[in-house]
Amino acid sequence: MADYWSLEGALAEETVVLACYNFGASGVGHILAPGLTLADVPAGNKVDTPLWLAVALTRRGMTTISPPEIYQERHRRKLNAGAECCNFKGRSPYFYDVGNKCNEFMQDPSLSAFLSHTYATRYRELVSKGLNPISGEDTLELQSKLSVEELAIFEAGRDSVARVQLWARGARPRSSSISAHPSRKRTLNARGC
Amino acid sequence: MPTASLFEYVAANLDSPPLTPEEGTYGPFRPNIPIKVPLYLALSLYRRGKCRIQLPPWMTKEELKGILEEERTHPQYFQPVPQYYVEISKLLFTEARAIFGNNSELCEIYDMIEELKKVRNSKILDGLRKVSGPITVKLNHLSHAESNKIRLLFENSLNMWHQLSKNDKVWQENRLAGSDTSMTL
Repeated sequence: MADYWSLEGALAEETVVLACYNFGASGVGHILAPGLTLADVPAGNKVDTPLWLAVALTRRGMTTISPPEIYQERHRRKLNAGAECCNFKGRSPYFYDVGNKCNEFMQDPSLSAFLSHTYATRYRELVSKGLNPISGEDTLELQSKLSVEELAIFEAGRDSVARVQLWARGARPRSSSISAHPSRKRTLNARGC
Repeated sequence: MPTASLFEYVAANLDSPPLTPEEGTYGPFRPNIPIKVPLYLALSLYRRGKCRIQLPPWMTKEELKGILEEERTHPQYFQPVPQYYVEISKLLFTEARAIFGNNSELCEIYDMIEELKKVRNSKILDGLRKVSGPITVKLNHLSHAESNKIRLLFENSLNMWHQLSKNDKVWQENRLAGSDTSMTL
């Protein structure tokens, strides 16, 4: 999950959210919204902004964040009905991280309850398939639907089971691909060059 | 693998003063007198033909049958098994097949241990599926290999639960304390 140093946390903040600029922003119109004809963002306008910028501006009271569509009422009903079938990889690969970040400002207990409930439903599938070393069609199908955080958990489970099985077969684990190559340092020849 | 703690009974064919490998002294060895040594030493003497290994007491057909029955009748909790039963059994099957007597005995014991592993594995999966929050889970009598299997997945998913549940607490505490997070830089 996201903390300051995590790479996934940083990548999650690239997600675009709709931010309403309370006081406008001068000179950045073309950068934020390439389709905008004006150089300045007028006050009260809603523009797509990356989450890292939206969060920083909202902390200073300059913008108001509205969370992405997947956390809105319509999708919530859909996910509450059947969360296992939803494809997070395509639509919102950082579902939980972005949700948590948005909730810091929206302060909506129902959003965090919704995130927990979604995770609880999908977790059962993760455990069943994650600790099964046999890779079948349904495992691949599940993998293509998981968000980045869920995929990390899934892969960790499969990796540990695969290693135990490898040991049971008596094979050696493959060494990491970044292995030491023979040194290619240039040696000084007689002339010193 | 800490085989130093896995003691086996060995009936030695050799006559030797005490051996002192890295971590302790074992011996003296006298012919046909059983002595307790770590598994690695027992296997290394066995390879040289210097000893006979006696089966650990839990690895007999009757004991295994009893443990298996208990596992099947109590689905809520695990039976106490030797902590390294997977590792010991694997090493003995691969390196010291002769100590099991005839082939059919070996197959029976092998099958019972595999069955035990499967029953315990399905219990673990059932238990894990029931987790639905950042709770403290008590898993008694889990063997070393089994806990290795589930460690990464379980730890990561508990971390995830923890993150999701504490999401609310941060801003709620701030609100109660009187400061508003949205205004801090």
